[in-house]
Amino acid sequence: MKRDTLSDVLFDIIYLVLAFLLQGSIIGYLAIGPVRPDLILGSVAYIALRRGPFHATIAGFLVGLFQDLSFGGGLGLNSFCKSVIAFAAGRTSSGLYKERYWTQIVVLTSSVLVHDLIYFAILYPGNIRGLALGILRISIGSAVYTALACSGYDYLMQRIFSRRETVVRETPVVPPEQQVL
Amino acid sequence: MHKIEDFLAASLRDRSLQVLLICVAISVVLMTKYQSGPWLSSPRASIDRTIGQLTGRMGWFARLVWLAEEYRTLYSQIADRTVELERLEELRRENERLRRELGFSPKSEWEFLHAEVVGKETGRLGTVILVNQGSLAGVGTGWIAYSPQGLVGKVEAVGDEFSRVQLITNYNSPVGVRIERNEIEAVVEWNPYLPNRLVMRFIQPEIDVKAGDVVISSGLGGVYPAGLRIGRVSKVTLEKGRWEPYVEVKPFVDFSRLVEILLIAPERVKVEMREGGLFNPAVD
Repeated sequence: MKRDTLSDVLFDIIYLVLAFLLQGSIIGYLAIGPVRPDLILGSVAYIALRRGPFHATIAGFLVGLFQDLSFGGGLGLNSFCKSVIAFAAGRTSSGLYKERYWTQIVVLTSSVLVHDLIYFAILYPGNIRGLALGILRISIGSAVYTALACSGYDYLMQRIFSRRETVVRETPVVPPEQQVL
Repeated sequence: MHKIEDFLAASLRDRSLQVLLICVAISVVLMTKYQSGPWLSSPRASIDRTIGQLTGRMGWFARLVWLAEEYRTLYSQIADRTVELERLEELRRENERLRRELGFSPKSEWEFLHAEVVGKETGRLGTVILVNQGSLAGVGTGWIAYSPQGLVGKVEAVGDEFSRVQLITNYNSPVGVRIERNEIEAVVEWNPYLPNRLVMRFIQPEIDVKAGDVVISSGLGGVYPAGLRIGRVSKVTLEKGRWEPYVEVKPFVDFSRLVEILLIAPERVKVEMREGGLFNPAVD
């Protein structure tokens, strides 16, 4: 394994472990009613943005499985949702100019919404009303809160570890400022 | 046809898609075949211990802010409570004396075990917490978790130093309740569409229940003792096509800000229920 890749993987592990610990300790105190940021899901989405779908899917699966083992009632739900979201975020964002702050916010917000759609659909199978209520009451607020909190978390982590993360892309993308109409 | 074959061939060569399919397959197998079981308790206890030790330390920073605020509030409440406690102590002595005169045995005392919340469920619903007391302190499955604000839940799994507490907002924690104002009995259970809210079940359409009514545990069911404060009715609506009104209860406990809880041994509660003449399948 190349030194840079090893360093990236180590950083991602620390990134996810810290997100997990913060989610289990401090984040609960930041809840506004039923709405609270999901730092773990946000971190998986950030990894998808930076490293692409391959790394992100593995990271999403492992962190989801650990989440299931630590607090979940049953196994597999979080690992399933997070692997799918990581893959989807990594794949769909490959054509976007991901360095932009607003692009990251949109990807993070959509990731939470799609994650919750899958999560609630599995949790309440066949209950369309329940699914809609869950999305309306919990997910929309959580998605925005997650996007904002995670961008802060990402900024802090990059400052603490003195890193300037680059984006891995499968297709070249021209920055919006340089696009000729 | 060739296009589909090309697409499938390209998909099979896609490394990330292969990984996704493997991850999804493992997750589906886990979801369908290995939901829970005794083999899970050992790895879960190890993870609980690790997480409990780490998050317990991290949580201190957040807790310090809340503790400072709570300290100011509680300090002013202590004076009132002290006077009330003296009055209650006198009533307790009188009650014991009267019970003896009537030939009843004295009520058993509850022993509280103090525990700190060191971890919270990281999933979307957040209905399980981790506390820093386990089997070494005598805690067992089924112990009742309580806070000065009201009922918290019950112990679901126990490790050596840590225990998992299932909150009353968990899907697996229905509570037999009574409306304090008119003694009407019902059951409250989790509200899947709104975390930190409960829904009242098994109530008649003509029932007299209003927003603002205080709900306490009834003791029926043999899990929780009677008289524990649970919450306040926050919403009552009668929906078309449903004979049972929708009654929403807001718990007194703010579960997202729980810092400390008290654990009560269920044996004590069962003894008290039997003395009180309540049906308890676990004992009777």
